Amino acid sequence: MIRKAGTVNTNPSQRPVRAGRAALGLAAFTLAALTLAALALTGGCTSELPNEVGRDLDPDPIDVVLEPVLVDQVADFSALAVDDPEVPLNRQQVLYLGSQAGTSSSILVNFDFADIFTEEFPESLFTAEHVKTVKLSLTKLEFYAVGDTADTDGTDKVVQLYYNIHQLAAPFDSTAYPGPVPPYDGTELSRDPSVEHGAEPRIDLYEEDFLDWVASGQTVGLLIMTDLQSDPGLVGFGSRELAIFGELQDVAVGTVVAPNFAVEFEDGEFFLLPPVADTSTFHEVATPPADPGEGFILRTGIRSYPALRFDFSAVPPDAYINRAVFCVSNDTLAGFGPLQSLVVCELDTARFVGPQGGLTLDELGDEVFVVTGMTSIDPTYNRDLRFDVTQAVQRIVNGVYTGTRGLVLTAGEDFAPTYDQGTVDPDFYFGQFQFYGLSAADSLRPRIEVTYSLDGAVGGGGR
Amino acid sequence: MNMRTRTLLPAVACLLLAVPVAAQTPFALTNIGQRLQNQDARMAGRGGWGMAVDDSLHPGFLNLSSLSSLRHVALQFTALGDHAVSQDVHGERTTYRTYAPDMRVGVPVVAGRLAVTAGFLVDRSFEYTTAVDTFWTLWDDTLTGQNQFVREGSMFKVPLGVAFAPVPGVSVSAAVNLQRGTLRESLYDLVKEPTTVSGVPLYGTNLLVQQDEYQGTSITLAGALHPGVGPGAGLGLGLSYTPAYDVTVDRKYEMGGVSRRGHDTFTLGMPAELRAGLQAPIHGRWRLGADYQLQRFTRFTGPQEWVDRMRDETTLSAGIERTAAHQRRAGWSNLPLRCGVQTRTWAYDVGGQAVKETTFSVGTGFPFRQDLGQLDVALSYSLVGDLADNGMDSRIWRLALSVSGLEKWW
Repeated sequence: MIRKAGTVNTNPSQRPVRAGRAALGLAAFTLAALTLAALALTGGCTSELPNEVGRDLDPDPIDVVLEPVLVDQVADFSALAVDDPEVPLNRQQVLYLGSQAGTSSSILVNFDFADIFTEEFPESLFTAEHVKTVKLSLTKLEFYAVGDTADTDGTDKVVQLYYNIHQLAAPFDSTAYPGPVPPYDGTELSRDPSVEHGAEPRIDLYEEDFLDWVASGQTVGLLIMTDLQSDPGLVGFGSRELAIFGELQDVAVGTVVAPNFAVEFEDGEFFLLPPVADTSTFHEVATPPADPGEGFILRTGIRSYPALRFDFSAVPPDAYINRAVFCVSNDTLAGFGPLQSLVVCELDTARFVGPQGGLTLDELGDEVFVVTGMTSIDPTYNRDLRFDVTQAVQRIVNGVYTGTRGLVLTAGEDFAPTYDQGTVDPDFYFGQFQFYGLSAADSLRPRIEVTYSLDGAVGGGGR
Repeated sequence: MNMRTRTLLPAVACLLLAVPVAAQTPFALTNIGQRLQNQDARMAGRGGWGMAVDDSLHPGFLNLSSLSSLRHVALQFTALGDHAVSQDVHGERTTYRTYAPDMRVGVPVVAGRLAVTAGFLVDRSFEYTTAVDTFWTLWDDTLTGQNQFVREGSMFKVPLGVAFAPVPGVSVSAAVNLQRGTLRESLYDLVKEPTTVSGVPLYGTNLLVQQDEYQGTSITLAGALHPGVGPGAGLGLGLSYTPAYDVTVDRKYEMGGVSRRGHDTFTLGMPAELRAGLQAPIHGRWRLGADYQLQRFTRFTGPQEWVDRMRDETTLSAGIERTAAHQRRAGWSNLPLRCGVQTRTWAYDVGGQAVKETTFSVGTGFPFRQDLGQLDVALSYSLVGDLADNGMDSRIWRLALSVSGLEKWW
């Protein structure tokens, strides 16, 4: 039916009135506005949360949901020797003395007697009549001086050391270490090696020996060793490179932290002679196991980081990894050293170079991709360590890499800033985690606990 | 406020309400989804019939051939708000939604003889979510969480048509319908516990998504007969036929976190659809009407799990209407009044039985100045399914609002 707008309706009983239509239009608009408001309110009403209503019409669930699989076959392993050329052994801030877990070290110190006289301490003072005592002073780091603060009696971690001091046949070459102990004179230079000097060793020497060195005006090398009656254990002392004084106990103003001669004169004055070179020998360094069967280590100081590539063939392709946990167990009776951060990184297996090859720290930092980590791990207390490596395993299962990838455990290096929370770098302390190997019990061996889900529709199969 | 503004303002509001269709009824969780109540509020108020409508000042877009009588540009927008309470053996859930399933325009080319039309119409909708608490035991842990199934999407069409009246009282039309749509089904396994100390779940959530993109084209031919004089004066007959057509489906599967994807393509063979309707005067301003719709989904081709549950979809709408008047000082008696009932058998079974939907509706409307537009409102109550037969039912209150506007834009 064709009707024309604004004209009289054909029905004779109906006559349009302009005023009525105007009121009607206004009422229409008002009602429209109210209705829109009602609709908007309805839109603003919140539906109840979804529940089980309708669940009988749900489709088939995902084919495989939260399936656990244990990945414990290691296809590739390497104990990575990591070296920082910017901080060679002779520039490390800590000197080590003693033996522990197959690693032994003595301390070598060079003193230059060529130009030691000053206005305050002229040559005339350095005579037998004026020199009262000569001591060789060492400063233990606080960690080795006071032991583990968790121990109630404080005796568990403090190593009792007895010192043997010998003169080297010639001043040592600081770049030759780690290396064997150089030739030395067998004469004992300390007055009484049977004295245990505690947290601040002041080893009594013979004044005549010191005065002979002064008179020679030469550079003299000394060897500091542990006596046979010493407790097993590696103990750290401040070196001439030490810059992080927070790792020391409180020391007196003017203390020379490095091994130094403390000469007391009869008039009560003290003369301190610092060294011109010092180093740890690390003449015996335990070789990290090449076969992870019997265990593997993570070592700081002289870095050794374990790298493992697990065999993921038990995980089907195109699986979604709900969770993957990398589990390692630390032998708390074999581990030693202070708290460390432990970081898990991805590493291309092409860089599994082994202890003979080695990587620099910069090279390692360029190659790894940090996955996760933990801080404040105690090698003498924390046994079972679990790292969430879900995203790393998902990437491997997704086949996003052209080569093969493994996991490397490192300390808290600068390339993992989230976990580099201490004030010292991993080359500061010599410490070691001893992890159980593949031959260990199921609950101790290294493994990745993978939980995955899978549906046949993904990857080409239809539902 | 001029006519154009009064027309456009509610239309803009309707557009703003055209949010993605939220949860509706659990019957939409499966198969080809629910056929929407997408008629304008005038038709909805009187039970849904409108195949025989022919009114140049209040055009109906159900039968496009009726647009041949247009003398002005016609715009129509429809918005709806639902309040649904659904129940089955597992409980009850109340949901709300708002949506704008119908937007149309008709443009006269030769006033009263020839017109073209375009629009947007949501045909079918699949919107519901279920959530079931569950737990898993692995690695000596007990994990708690939820299985969720989210079904969302719609099938819509863009009708582009032309209507022509070769002789007075007879009109025909042809329209090409661009059929589009998306169906997204997401399966979640949400593992809520255990968590880290900061509350982040330790286990990743499974998410499997199947997404279908629909694309097709159909044709609708329609005609109407409105003898203006003689024994059939006031009567109206309308008929439309949409031949069977294919909808191409591009299906993707993906699982969150997995780099690989699955892909599939297939075709939905949509059956032909027939609609017929009539209207007749009763007395004075009153008239009655009825429509019948049939689409034989037993001839549907597509996923076998859908085909196995298909049945023919039929809809019967009937109702009465008192048309608007313009008597001086007649007040509310000038308003149109509408009421009706609609029964529908859905295209697929649920619980092994047919899904019956019955809707009771009432409505009214308000003309704009000089009859250059109309605001219609309808309130309906639908009963979908049967707890005993289908294992679930839904009761839906629905408020429909349509705005029709006429303008001389040139």
